[in-house]
Amino acid sequence: MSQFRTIFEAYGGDYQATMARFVNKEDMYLKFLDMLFQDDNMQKLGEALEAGNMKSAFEAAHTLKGVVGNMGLAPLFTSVCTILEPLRAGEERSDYQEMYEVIKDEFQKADDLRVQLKKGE
Amino acid sequence: MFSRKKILVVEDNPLNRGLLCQILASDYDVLEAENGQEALDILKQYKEGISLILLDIVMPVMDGYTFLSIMKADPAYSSIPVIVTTQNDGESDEVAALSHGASDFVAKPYRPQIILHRVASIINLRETAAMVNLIQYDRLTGVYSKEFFYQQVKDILLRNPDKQYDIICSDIENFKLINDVFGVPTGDRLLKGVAEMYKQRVDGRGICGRMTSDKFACLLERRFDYTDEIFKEANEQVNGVLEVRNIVMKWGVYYIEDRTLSVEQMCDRALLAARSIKGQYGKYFAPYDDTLRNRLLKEQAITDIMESALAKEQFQIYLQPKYRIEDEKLVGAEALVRWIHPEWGFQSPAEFIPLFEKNGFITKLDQYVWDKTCAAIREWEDEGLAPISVSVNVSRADIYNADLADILIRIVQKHNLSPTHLHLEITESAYTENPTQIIDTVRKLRDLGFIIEMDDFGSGYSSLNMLNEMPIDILKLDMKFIQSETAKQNSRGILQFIIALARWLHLSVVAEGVETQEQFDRLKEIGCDYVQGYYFAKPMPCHEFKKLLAKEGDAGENSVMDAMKYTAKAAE
Repeated sequence: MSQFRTIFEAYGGDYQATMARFVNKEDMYLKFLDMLFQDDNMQKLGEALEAGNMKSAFEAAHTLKGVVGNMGLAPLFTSVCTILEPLRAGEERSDYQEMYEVIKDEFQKADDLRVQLKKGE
Repeated sequence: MFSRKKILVVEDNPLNRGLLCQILASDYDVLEAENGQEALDILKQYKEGISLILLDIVMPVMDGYTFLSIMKADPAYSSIPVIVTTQNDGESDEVAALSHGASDFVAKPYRPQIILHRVASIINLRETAAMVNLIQYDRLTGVYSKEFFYQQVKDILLRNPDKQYDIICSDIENFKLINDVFGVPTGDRLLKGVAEMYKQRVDGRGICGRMTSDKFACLLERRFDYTDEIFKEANEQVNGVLEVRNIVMKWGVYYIEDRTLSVEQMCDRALLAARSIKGQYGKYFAPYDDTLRNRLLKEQAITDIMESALAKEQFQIYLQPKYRIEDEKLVGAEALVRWIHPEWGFQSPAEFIPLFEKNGFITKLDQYVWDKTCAAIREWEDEGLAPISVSVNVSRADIYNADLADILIRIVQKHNLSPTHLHLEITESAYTENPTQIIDTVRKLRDLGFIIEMDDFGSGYSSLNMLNEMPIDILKLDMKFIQSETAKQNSRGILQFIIALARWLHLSVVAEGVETQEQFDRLKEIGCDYVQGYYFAKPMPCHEFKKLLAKEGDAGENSVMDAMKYTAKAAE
């Protein structure tokens, strides 16, 4: 149990605030975490950015922000927030792809976290 | 078990939706919809069965704003509160959600305790508001509902300790009949009219409410004495509501003296007062007083113990001797019932008999009296005393009992007596109520050999023609009638006429309630046959009567013959 907490906090998450959302059940957290990786918003965001569709990109990022926030994945959450605000404002920018790369990295880190948490059990 | 409240979660993202459901599942039944359209379908199915909606804004197919606009425009759902889930990234979403009719918002990431508290308090708020609207006013008439009226009266009394107030309640006579004959919509119109009348008259000087179906109440500051005139006027106003006239309202007033009483009790007292004049023509209102309450309490106390009193033989037979005028010999008796309660002592028949007649217990008591009377006659015969017949009361309710003849026959047979030993006293007014049926029943009894006495002759309204057809043997003159007749010189003719009438119909006449020598002389003079009353003897317990019978019966052959003659003459 405490290993879960150590791993989660090492990743950069707020263990208490996050786990309160999951009735303090770590297995339930893991179940929802699995759902995150079945979620297609990450993919949608990438595609929309590629196609230059700001509106779709915003919607995907918006949803992603909510989901990631709920999962308490703080570093990933911060990276999504970075792209969300210019998308919301509809700014034409050249660095969206870079921002997306950062998100992808963070997404991978979250996936690594998932693997670690499962191992640690 | 109570079903749990239902919450509808509208959210397209499965993770967010699943998480919300997890948070809510411990306290609520959760329904899920992936978009606005699905949510509308679920709403159609459950309507107000859904206590609250948690709504995401950004969704495919139908977004949250569209969903809010549609549902808030539909009265079937518009009162269901909606909490919008937002991203916590700026006021704009929240303001937009609230302006579309959302009650509140919660931000992501979810904070379960905040969500649960917010959801609970919004559901509670809405239910309380709905309840207040529902119960504050009576749906049909628009005056206060009973509970709210009680509450308001209580508040007013508390806030104004120095002012004097009265509670006035009203009841419509035979309201159920109005509903039945003219239909419920007409009845409802009448009730609305009554409420309108109350509102107009109470206007600004009190409050009014509806208690139950046709019973209304108001609280008024005491300003004047109540008169029949005021209530008559109000009654007339109500009569103007429908084409149906002759609606009679009875009013009861409780002057609030004792503020420790609950408002409900105050209203009950006013209604008791109203009920006390039920059926009394020309009486519009009655004030409540403690006598009324005590009477009702006593009645209730009597009702509670009457069965056990009968079982414990607290009821006793008293016999009042009947004498033949001609030679002043004892020829019979009337059996009367006395109730000696171990704690309350002697109970007045004037108090319990009318009550038993009202609640139907009289039939049981009568049968008890018949049985005890027959047992006494049997005992006297077994001891060789003079044969004698005793009259017993047969109440109105007994006559409507289809088994009356069987019951009476069974009782006399049980004691090995013939029906001629029992004289049945049936009040004249019973005959006039339902002549055909009663005449048939009484004729049957007479054919079986019972002697029929018409009690309280002169109290009813028998026509000469009816009198001729009635199966009776003896007329029993009302005591009060005789008292007033002997007092008035000019009216003596009437008494004489009754005796002549009885002769002509071959009936004997018993005068009861004879209390003075003067009365006796007068009855003797005009040829009345028998007398009963304090002038000769009071009602007495069985054992005393037995002694009397033994003494007077000992007088010899003559008195036995007299007694037989009384019976035989009556049986002619």
